Amino acid sequence: MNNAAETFGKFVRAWLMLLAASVVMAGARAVELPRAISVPVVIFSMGFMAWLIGSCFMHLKSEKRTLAWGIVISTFFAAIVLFALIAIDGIRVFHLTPR
Amino acid sequence: MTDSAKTAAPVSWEGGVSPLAVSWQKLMLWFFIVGDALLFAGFLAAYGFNRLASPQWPNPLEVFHLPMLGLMTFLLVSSGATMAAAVEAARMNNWKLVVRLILVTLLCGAAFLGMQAYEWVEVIHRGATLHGNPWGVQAFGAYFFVITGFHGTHVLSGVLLLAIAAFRSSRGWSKASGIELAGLYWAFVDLVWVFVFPLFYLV
Repeated sequence: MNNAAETFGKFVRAWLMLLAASVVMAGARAVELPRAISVPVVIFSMGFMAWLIGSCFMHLKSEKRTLAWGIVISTFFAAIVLFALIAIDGIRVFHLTPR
Repeated sequence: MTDSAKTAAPVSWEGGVSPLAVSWQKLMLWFFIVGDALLFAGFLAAYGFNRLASPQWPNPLEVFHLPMLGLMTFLLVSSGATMAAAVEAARMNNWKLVVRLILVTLLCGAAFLGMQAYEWVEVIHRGATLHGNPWGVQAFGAYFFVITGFHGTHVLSGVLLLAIAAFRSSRGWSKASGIELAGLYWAFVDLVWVFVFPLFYLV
């Protein structure tokens, strides 16, 4: 029973942290903080929430390290390639836009 | 594969008889998730570039209702927690609890979809289409409908998947591994929203 309480407690803690991070993100926007502050706050909260969901809700924490790192690293590098390819068009569009 | 063949399989990759010590179903779902994540990353990156390139962009707070979006986020985050708990309950062989937790997850997902439908109807009534909108920047409507629509389709598929999982679990037909796969997919839906919500609605 203690084991079950501990297991479910882990999810409750993760849930509370996710809600807190969501409130921080929405709060930063609602009070209209300067962009120099609100954007890093949103990016940090987003990263934190993604880590929590990946490790706790997707159980990556308890998977074999090879699988967890394989997923994280392959996604990261593929995203860089994707981002670079879109950036080529993005920069072209940026220069075409009348300012 | 026979039992003797399984025993004889090489284990030098540390994965035993299956790659990376996971079932093929789970590995395939991870491949799907990584591919799908890149698709969303592509959408959001294109949206980011377009937004930077536009001299003006509508203020999302003037277009959307932040309290409702907060509630939608609350529902999806909560459903992620209940689904993760359902996976644990399945591992503990507590199938009554599994069914209850999946039903809570399903209700949260359905409520999220209802709110998204309401938001779409309202935005459409205000004149937004894929090709234009009253807020000036043409691409705004297109990105809104494509990104949220694509995510909503994932939520809808997840809700259907959960309905099947709940039915099968109530009949005693499910296995813990099946619930784990459903949970993995649902957590991915949750994960995507964590990026869509701030990048599209807040920043």
